[in-house]
Amino acid sequence: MKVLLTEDNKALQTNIVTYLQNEGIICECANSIQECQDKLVAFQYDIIILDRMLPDGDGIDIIPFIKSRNLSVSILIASAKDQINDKVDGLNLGADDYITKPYFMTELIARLKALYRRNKLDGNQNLVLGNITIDTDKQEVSVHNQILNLTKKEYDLLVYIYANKNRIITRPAIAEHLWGDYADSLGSLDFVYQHIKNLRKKIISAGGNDFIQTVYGSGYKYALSE
Amino acid sequence: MKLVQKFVLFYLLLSLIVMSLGGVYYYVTFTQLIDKETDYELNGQVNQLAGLIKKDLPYDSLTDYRIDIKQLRDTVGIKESRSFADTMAYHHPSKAVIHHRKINKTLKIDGVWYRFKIFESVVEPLDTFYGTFKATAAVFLLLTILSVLYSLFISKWLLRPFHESLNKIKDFNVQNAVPIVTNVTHTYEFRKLNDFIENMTHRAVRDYINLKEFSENIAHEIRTPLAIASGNLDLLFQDKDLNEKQVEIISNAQGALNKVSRIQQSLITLSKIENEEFKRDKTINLSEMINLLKTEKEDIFELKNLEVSTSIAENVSIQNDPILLEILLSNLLQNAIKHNVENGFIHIKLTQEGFKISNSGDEPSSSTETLLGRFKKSSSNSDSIGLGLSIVNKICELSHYELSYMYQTDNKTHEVSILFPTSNFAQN
Repeated sequence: MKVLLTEDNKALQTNIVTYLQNEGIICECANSIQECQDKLVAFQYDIIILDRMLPDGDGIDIIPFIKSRNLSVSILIASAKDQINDKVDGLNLGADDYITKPYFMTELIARLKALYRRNKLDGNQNLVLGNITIDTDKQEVSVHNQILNLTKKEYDLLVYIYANKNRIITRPAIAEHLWGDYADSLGSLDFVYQHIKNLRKKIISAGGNDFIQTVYGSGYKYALSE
Repeated sequence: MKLVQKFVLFYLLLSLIVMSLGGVYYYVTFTQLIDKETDYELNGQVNQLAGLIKKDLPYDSLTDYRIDIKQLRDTVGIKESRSFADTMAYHHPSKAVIHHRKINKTLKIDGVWYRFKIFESVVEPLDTFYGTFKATAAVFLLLTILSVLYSLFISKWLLRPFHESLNKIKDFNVQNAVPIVTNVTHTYEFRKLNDFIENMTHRAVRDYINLKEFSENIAHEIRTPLAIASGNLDLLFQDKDLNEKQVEIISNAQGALNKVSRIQQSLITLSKIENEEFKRDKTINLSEMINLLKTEKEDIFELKNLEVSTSIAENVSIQNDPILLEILLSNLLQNAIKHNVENGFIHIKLTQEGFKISNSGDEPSSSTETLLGRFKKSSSNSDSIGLGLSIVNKICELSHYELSYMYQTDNKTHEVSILFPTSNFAQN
């Protein structure tokens, strides 16, 4: 996966690039709309991460540029403007997804992978975790060809863990991924634990691998003992 | 009491004192003048009579009902003398005993001593008193009438610049960012007042805008460093060599950062609402919106073991911005979840007139009124950032909804209700 990151803040650039590189994602940077357009014309990218507030304008102004040239690049808007109408503006113009700053790196990776899957692999690639298979098209999970009865949240959780299978995922990150703003009103992160526990139980009782490992009580890690 | 009424009242009081004293002075001067004139006249008459006696007219032929002349025999130690006195005497023409002035003069004419007593009727002092009183009263009455008319008409005209400025101050709202421009006046005091009002509102507006820009900028600018800090923590978290203590520290730092970013997002939302960046012109089916929200959050209710019941009237439509309404409902629902108790309940009710959400929960430590303000929160829940209800409050203010928040101690229930204005209903 090759990503173009438009972000004018150096510190944040380094941050994201390092994180993505650890994940094996090639990430290049553009500091302005101008630079971004130059790079888009010269190279091929799978996904472009667009910041809205760039020194020479609003990042979403690049979207028409992309559309007019029929560039096959997925667009993820990441910006400091968090209002829903900004989000709608971006999506209406043809962006594929929207993420608001500050975000958890694990969330960014999950979004990037989902976009990549959807747009590059036509969305019908099965994700495989040992003997667990996730059909992202039908949103079904099966173990030994037997379909598991998972709730929507449990499914989301499993995909999220899969997307970040080389990372440690923190409980707040999971809570925010699953419940968004409501994560806060849940008050306690024990619910994350409960969801993980239920998901684990369902998979193990169907004969699946125990795929997840608790890290020091505050995070989780995909771990397949093979 | 109006200022002008007070002015007139004090003025009339002062006039009353001055005029009363003036009346007394008139009376005294007037009576003295009359006495003096009468005395002069009486003296003249005596001299005239003395002249006649000198011409050898028998003195007793000169007497009548008011003139009394006597020849004095006993003249031992006698001197020429003259005295005047007030006296009561019978007045023939009016056939009554009335006030008279009397002269008593002793005179030597051709070696013979005579005593002259002449009476002259004068104006009754009581009549003089009544006269002056009537004149003073008439003047005072005229003054009163004119003063009242003055206070009614002239003062209205005189004080017009003042009232105009006052109305402008009343209509002034610093949030509109329009300083007051007063009308031109030629009265020194009003000119000074207007200058002051203009300067003050200019400053207030400037300070308000500065403050608003400052907080908006802060809210925006804080986001990138937040993202950097959070990203760095994420990176750090992936380090294989971390021990449990370090992981806990990173976790705590991440939690705190999350809270800052929530505060920041809420502040931006608040300022967006205040800046009226929402067009409230869409017709929204509130019934559908609430039902959808309830279905979406079912898993949360289940997790928190909350019993949720609804009574939602069908097809309640309302004119507003869908995003604003979503923020409003979502904030209320989040509060109802957050401030609930184990095995508690939430009840949502929607009618054509309004919306009510009630939930079980512990009594808030501060009054429900104060909880509507910014950063006001019940201390029992430290996770709360204290902006949810103030956002709800702002949206209601903007949309002219009537918001009320009550806590019922007997059944431990929080009750937030919103009344829609009748004019806000969409016509189907």
